[in-house]
Amino acid sequence: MRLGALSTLIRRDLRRTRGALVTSGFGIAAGTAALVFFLALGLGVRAVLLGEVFPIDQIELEPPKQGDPGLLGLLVGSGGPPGIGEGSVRDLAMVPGVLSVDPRLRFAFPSSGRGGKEIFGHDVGTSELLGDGIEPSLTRGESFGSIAFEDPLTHPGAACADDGGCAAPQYCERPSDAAAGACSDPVPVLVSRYLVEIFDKSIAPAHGLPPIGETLVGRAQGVTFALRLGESLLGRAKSGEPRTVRARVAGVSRRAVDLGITLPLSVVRRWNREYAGAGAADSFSSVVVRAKDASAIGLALERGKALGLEPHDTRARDVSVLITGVMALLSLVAAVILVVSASNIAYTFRVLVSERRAEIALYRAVGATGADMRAWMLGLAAAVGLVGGAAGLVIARALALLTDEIAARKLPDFPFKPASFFAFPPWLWAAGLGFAALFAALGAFRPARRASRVEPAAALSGS
Amino acid sequence: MIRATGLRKLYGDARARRAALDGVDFSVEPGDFVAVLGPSGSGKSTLLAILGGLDRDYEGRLEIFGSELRGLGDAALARLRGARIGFIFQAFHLLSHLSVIDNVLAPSLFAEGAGDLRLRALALLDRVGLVDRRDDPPTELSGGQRQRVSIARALLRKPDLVLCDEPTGNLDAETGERIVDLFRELHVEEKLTLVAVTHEERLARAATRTVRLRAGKIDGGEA
Ligand SMILES: Nc1ncnc2c1ncn2[C@@H]1O[C@H](COP(=O)(O)OP(=O)(O)OP(=O)(O)O)[C@@H](O)[C@H]1O
Ligand SMILES: [Mg+2]
Repeated sequence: MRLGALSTLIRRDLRRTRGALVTSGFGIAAGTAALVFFLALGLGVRAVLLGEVFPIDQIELEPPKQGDPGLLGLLVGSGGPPGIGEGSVRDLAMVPGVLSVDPRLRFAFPSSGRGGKEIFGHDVGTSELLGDGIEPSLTRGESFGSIAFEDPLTHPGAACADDGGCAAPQYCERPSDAAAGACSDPVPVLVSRYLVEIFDKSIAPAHGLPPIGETLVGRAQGVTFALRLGESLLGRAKSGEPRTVRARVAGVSRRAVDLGITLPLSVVRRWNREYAGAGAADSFSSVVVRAKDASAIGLALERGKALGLEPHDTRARDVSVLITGVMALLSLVAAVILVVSASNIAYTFRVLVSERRAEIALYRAVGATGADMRAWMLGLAAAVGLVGGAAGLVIARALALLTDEIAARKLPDFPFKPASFFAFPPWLWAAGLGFAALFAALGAFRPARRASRVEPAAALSGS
Repeated sequence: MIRATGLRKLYGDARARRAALDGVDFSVEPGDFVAVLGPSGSGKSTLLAILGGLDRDYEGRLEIFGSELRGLGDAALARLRGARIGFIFQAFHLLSHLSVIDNVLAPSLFAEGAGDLRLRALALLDRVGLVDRRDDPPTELSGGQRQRVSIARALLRKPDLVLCDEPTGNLDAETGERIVDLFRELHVEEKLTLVAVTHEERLARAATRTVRLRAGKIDGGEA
């Protein structure tokens, strides 16, 4: 049968059997709306969680944590955790699909911080401050305004004995056992967007502090604070004298550690050597591997395992699995609706085919093949599915907009609260229509087969 | 054109079998106008359905247009019906949701490569005197008018053979007469091959040949 003839038949049916077809199309619309709504919700939440909160295209690898140092460890006194050498970094960089491998060096000593008067009105302190160092070149492409993210001792000032010998905001960088130090600009510090979000949405409201938010660069950049090295609430460093240095917020960076501050690598090296010995300064404590997709991350994980490295945190994968699971569950609900509407279609078409036995027989007598009749019924069902599916898509989109609107107004701010909880990629629209047509056609499958088997002689005999 | 030998058609299940046709030999040559006569229940409609390839559940041999009907697949047989055989049913079988012209054009839906048949449909409607009713639904037509629409539909694709089941059976005498005239014209002027089941004496007289069926058998040989 020509396509034109098929569409003529279907158009006539949509006109003459509108009532029954609209009813069965309604179920398809509801099913499609539910399916697309849930999928879009899952995709949207997934995009926020895995894109910003727990990126799935990057992973931090580190040596296994030492639970029990063992007898040998005790005897030899191996001290801090073994580091990651330059060789491992180069190895990982060779893995196909890996875009970058950024080594990081964590503070190997306790520290705390105090400051923030400029934005909070009074100084705020943290009794425990985590920090790490990265190669400043990694932040190339990110702009921190006027403050350079580099080791201040690249351009050391005059010799000094204490902070009094330096002009503010400089301080005297004088290691524990050195006779003299050098005046140094405050150490530039990067913070993560994650930290800012947590602060703004959880900490600030709880303590009556103003949020920093997106204006951090404008308002908090340049905020200086005192960084106490070698000492915190939890204890003191093994070696070195605790001292206080000055630090200054340079900006927000994607490369910054999630919870803590990130400094130029050479600064952390120096301090680690001072407070934890050479072993803590010569290697890296972890590497962040960025890859083009999750499968490349898988390869990097394997390579890392061979090098004796483990992922620092498996939240990304856990979250991914969780979201996928929830999405699958919700989609299942939607699929059930579609199946129910398919059986509704099946019933409608069974009645339709019985009512039209004589008509089908006539068409058969004037030249239609059984396959033509089957194509007619399947095409009609698919058309009902497409129309119902299109309506479902419109409903899903409208519900999503409504949900976002309500969420924006009624939900309190929380970290990473997105402007929209939904994602509607083009393939989702296509998939919605495709499923609608498919389920409708599946429902009509048996009636269509019956239509193809109508015996012209039997149906035309009698009246 | 048609060659049937030993046609048998059984109805019912194994316990209660009845033969609607019981060893019928029958042939039609091009240009024939065969009238099939016989009492009610003698198997006339059954015979017509088998000859037209609508009913394939029979015993015996049947050749149509030179090919053994049993050898044709569903699609091939359907195409053969569409292109070469026209049916005129006792009960018209017009589609009530379509206009007169769309009813006449119904066979064109399944006519691959037959071109646009709209002009021919209009010409046929003109011929049966219904061109001014082309946009009306068939439910607004009288019995005779409906029969003429179904005749136009049967002729749309210029069939080689037209099979009619009591084309005048439901009509009053005068209307029936006009239909008979139409058949005679078609047969004489267009050299149409016709097989018509009928009770109508006039129609039987217009035929070149008559065949009588009785209880599923040809009665008294062909006349
Ligand atoms: N679908 C069927 N199932 C069972 N028996 C049938 C069926 N169709 C026809 N018959 C039987 O076959 C026989 C022939 O029927 P057919 O319809 O061919 O008769 P007919 O000659 O056309 O009669 P009429 O002049 O009344 O139309 C009858 O005895 C009838 O009961
Ligand atoms: Mg009959």
